[in-house]
Amino acid sequence: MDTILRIDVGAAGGPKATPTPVGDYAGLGGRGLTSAIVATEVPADAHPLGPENKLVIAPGLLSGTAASMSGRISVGCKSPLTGGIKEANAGGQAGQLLARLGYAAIVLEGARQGDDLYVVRISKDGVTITADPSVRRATNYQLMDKFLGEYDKTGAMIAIGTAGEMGYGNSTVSITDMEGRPTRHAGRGGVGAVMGSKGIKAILIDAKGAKSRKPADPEAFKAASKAWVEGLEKHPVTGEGLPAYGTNVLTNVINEAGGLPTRNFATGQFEGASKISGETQAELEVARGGSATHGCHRGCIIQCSGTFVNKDGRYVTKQPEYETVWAHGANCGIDDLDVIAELDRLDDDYGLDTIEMGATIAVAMEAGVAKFGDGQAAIELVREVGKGTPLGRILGSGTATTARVYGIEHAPCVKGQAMPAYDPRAVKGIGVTYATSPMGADHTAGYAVATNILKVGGDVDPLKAEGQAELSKNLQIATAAVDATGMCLFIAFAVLDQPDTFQALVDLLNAYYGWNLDAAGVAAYGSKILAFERDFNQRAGFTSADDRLPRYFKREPLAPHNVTFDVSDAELDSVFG
Amino acid sequence: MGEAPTVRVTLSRPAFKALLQRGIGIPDGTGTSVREFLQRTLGIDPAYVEEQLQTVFLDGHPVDDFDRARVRPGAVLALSGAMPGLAGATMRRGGYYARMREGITHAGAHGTDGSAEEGVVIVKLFNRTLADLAETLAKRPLLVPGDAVGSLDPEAEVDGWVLVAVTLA
Repeated sequence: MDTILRIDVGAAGGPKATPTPVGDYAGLGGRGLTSAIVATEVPADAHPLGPENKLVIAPGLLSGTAASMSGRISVGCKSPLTGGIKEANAGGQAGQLLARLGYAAIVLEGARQGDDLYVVRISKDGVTITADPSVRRATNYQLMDKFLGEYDKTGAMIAIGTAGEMGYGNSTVSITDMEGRPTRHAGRGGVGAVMGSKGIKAILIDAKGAKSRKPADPEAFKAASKAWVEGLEKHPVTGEGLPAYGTNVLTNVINEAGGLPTRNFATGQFEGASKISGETQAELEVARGGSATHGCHRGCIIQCSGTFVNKDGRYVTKQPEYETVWAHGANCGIDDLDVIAELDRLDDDYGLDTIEMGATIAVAMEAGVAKFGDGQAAIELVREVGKGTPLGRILGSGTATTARVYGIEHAPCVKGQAMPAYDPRAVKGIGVTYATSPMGADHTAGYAVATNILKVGGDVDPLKAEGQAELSKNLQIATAAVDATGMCLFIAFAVLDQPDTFQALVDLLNAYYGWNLDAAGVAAYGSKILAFERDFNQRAGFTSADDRLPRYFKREPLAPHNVTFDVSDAELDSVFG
Repeated sequence: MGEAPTVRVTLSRPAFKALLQRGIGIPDGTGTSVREFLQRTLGIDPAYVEEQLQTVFLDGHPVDDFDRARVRPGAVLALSGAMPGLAGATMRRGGYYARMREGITHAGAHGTDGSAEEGVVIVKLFNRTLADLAETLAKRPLLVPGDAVGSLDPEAEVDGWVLVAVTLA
């Protein structure tokens, strides 16, 4: 992984790929590398869809090794949705394979010439790029049908659907899973539109003949890997809860807590929660002949995904995740898992972020475009987005834009990005992260690693109400570090509780790279990534006024607990102050 | 709730689990602490209560202290294992991140008098507790929503609830 593949889409005669040494970016991976390149090479005032922006696709530091759970891949750019720096990451096969081929990153850069769409093919023998008129307006599943024979055995596909091609603020970069399906998405922030602006429709990876990456200290790596797997398998969440029910296991619990945003964040409990819960979903999947336990890439031992089939036993989509079930379910007043699965399928096919799409439909429902609870209307709205009708283009521009178009105050967004599935009035600590993350409202920005283990910023008494800012800062630092490793964020549950499992992760990095990293070093690594990101955003014009939740979250109490978001602006400013 | 006959019903395990997610009524045992209710009234093994019930809500409020929180008539008690994600960690009983949801945390004995008042407690089971405790609950008389068992006997239904003895198919 000592090569960055730079593809100049403006080269004479068509896009040209040039392998370059990783150089000053050595030691960075995943989000660390995407954010470093974007912060260093993209002018902060660039238009997100202009020639100065770059799309960076980077496996993690441990991707392509034998370490379990290391298959995440990061996609970074200046975001068309937020106007700030963006890193979105996904599972699937591509991260492992790119790393095995020796690539630390692919950078799409330059000014697109003409309107041809190109397909990039990468193998150990080199890179070819060809114009392909047949991919225009192809959806992700249509691309799968066209190219599966090329990548199904030893490869993967990175692609954009129609949303990315049309330049939507809501558009993903899809990554194929173990079955070659485009079910994994770097979803947030409109990264697909940036890929589309470069005229690259698909990247086909063939890793035939590529080997696992070899660590600097094989014996130490083997020992750390064993401890790592043991730690994940013994933890009740990573070893039992997630494999049995997937992430949608959270629906019942967050609903019971009164923190499940319902009907565009109007209330915190949904009367139909038990109909769309992870428990009900798993029963349904198994009864129909699908699966409630499945991995998104080889080497995953948590297996939090699954396969959703229809009443006839035919594949519809992968198991919809908690965020998707919430966005298209409770937040739209829809309590039908078949409708939610159909919406998930359409999102994956067009290349749409399920969180942003669900939040947008809920705003449209509040505006009277459709009725809350009308599943067929929701499906039709997403089809409009995929087709690119005038209404579809408005909805595809995201939640904040849709709210502006319809004159709705209730746009649950920060920095232009829709909030995920936890109402910040009920769980204020998560609200602090929504407000202050450089990424916009993002539940994964402050997700990972026990700050009590890292001890960044000193110990905080957990029994005191004060210190939400300190907690959020430490979580964001730790998460940034994990995002650089290529490790799935769901490892956080085990690392959160088990210091020896956290140490095993550090040992994996040290054994692979020959480093002497300790907990403080991990924290410094995460801080460095956040520093890149915050610096970029400041140069792009963001101020502390952007580190706020919409004012109505302070004013309108959330039932059933009738709580408001009352964390002071001063405390929000202290997160990175 | 007045006296009503007990109706014998046979339910499939999926149907019973669906009911347990919505909530079933336990006719007695209020006025006790959450721990006493779980162990004495429901008959859950103390070790299971301590080790596996990592996420518990009383009237929608996350409970950190099983001994201080008391179960009053009409209360809703929801039981869950450890949950994923930061939100899951914040909801966990006595967890490090509990302060991130301090605005909704159950305030101990607040609002209850601690007397052994009779009444119905609604119990919900989620995730692993569905698998672990469904059989235990099926062994005792339960109140279930009348629409859930299709009761045709008007005398069996009181305030929308039917007292049932469940046989799992």
